[in-house]
Amino acid sequence: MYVPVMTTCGHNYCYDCISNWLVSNNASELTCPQCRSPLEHPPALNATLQHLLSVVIEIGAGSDPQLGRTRAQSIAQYKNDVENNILYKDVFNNTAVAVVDDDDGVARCSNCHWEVEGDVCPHCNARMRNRTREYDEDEEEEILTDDSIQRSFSGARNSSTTVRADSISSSESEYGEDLDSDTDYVRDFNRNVGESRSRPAPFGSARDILNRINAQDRRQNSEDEDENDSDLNSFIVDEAEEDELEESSYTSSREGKSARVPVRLDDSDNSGDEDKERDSDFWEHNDEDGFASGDNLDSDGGADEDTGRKIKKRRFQVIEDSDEED
Amino acid sequence: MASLPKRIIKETERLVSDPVPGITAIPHEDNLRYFEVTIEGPEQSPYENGVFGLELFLPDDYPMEAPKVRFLTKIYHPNIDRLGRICLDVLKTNWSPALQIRTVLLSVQALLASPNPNDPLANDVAEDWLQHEDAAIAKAREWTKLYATRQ
Repeated sequence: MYVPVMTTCGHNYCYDCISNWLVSNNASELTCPQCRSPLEHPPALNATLQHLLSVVIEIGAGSDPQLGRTRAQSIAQYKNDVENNILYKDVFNNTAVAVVDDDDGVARCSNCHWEVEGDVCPHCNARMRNRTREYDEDEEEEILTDDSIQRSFSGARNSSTTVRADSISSSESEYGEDLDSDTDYVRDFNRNVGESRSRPAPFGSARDILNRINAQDRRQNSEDEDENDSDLNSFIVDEAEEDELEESSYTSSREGKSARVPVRLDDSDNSGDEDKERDSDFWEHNDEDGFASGDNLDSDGGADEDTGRKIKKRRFQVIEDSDEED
Repeated sequence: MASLPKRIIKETERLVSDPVPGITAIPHEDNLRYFEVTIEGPEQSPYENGVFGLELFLPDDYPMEAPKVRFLTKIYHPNIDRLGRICLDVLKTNWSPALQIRTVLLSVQALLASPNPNDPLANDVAEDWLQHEDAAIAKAREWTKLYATRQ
């Protein structure tokens, strides 16, 4: 300790160390590491202690060149900060207010309008005088439980969380990531739920097309159920697939899988018995250029509608093709 | 890997030479920032006679950042979820660089002695704890016997 400073609560720290702590600390209040009392004023140089320490160091370490160098560096750093008036990287003066943008709900620094996470602006290092901590994991999970869509899939979500418990490896490199990714996962989940809500249409219309094209008897009911859920299930399964499937989660993710690819299920059903019927009907309507046959035009009775159908059909064809490659 | 900060070396030395009663923390051979930890269940608690395995990792910013601690042994506790993550203030917002590995582990041990169902991490357990405390404690005891018995 070459540059000892004392806090208002009477605790002494090395200038470098306490400075690091105050700058890196993401809490709303600057506190003393020892007693946690809030620090409103910057710690001041403790000259008496510095003198005492220099005596101790001389007795203990003598003229160790290495020590001398670090000591000179520390003192130079402190002097530099004093001269430039940037003691403690100015954390005691540099404050701002986090303002939540009404448009997107993002908290922004009032100094530089940078997005603020935590209590320190990542751009201008200003400390937020009002707390923004509420935008934490807990909050997000709360949103999830309130979400009506989420509720219906809470079972699946829980089971994939269980997988994590079992699959988190004990190696230290993955350790941190796993915990973090769980948060990411919640975030992804939110995003996915949002997306699927905003575009439910393709699935409804795709189903219509599918029914019309394959005019054969099929198990309509079960298919309908699967189709409705397919979008949401697909990402739940993806999450589960990332993990090694174990224990209880195994069953649930298998359910998810079968629900995710309803089209493919139909495919395999048809490929056996109804192969010929499909060939005549299905492939005719799914020409490679997406051109619909005359029958279709008549039945639909409108050129506009037809274009719309063409696009949709193509979409459907893509799904079929990719599934068959599997 | 960058050389280990002096503080970590000192803490490790002290953990080995002067261990906390009921707690062991052994650094991993390959990574001295990773510790294999065991904590004995406190007496008079449902976790009595259990030995719980944990892992502790010192992030690069330690001691400016709290160590990451996680239970590896299954435990029925309102503040510890099934991933083994621990809801403890000193591991999150109340971290202070004046704290050490040993003080953190002592806090974890204290958490075992006094579960706090009012600030839960495992919601189902906490609910159970609040509604049928005796049954929950019995279950915690049972789990301790099942999963945390010394081999």
